[in-house]
Amino acid sequence: MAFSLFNKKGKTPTSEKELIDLAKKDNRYFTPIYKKYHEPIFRFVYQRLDSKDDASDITSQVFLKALVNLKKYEHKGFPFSSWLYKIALNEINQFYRTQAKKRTVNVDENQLKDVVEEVGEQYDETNQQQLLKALAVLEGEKLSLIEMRFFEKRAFKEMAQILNITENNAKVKTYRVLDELKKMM
Amino acid sequence: MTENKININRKKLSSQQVSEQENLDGILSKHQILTKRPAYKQKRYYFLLFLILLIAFLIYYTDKEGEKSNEESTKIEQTN
Repeated sequence: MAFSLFNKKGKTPTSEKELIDLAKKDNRYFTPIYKKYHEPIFRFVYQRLDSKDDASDITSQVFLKALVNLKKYEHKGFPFSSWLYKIALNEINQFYRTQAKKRTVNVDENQLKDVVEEVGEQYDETNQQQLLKALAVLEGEKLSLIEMRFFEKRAFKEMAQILNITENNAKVKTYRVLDELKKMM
Repeated sequence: MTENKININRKKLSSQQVSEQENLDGILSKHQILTKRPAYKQKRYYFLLFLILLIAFLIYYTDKEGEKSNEESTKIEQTN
């Protein structure tokens, strides 16, 4: 018999919270969650990796961990996606630790321009090269903050939820990294 | 210190290329393997154990009863 999204009472789950609660009891309700979040999570992972195959493996690992730990998930007012992004970030960090590969930073020229201007410099060839050198040595959370804020255009609130810090702390840390980049340039 | 690898203007993947990477069946089967209940937690194994014990008891009981009836029949023969 084909699986339908109707629950035992004959109602379709209206909210995401309801769907997650149902998925905790029955795996089949995980399908719409997967369909909804596969693309954003894959893009988030691929943004931080060099290979599409590695991104695909890590994305699968993220959803497997989400499915295994779904019973432990509690809705605390944050979107479900931030929980998935948090798992994805941990998986990416673990991938680089175990593979001992160079961290990949994927960036567009327009995004570089945004960072240079945010630092208070005028965008030209020299500044672009200096920024690239500075980005090449940036590590861990500092790099994640710049990637999320300037390359993925995320709000501080969302960044804070993913990195498990307060919104204010995310702002302070981002501007500190920008100061650091300015000094390196 | 190892330097990060920087890619500039990498080609963006289309939604179709991303959806080709979906692997829900693989995830669900891995999840099933990971969360499979161990044998000692499965009800059917307790039922099987109960059946084995019941059969063993019945064999033992019929054997004992057989011995008793044999003893009784020899006693009757002796008294006769």
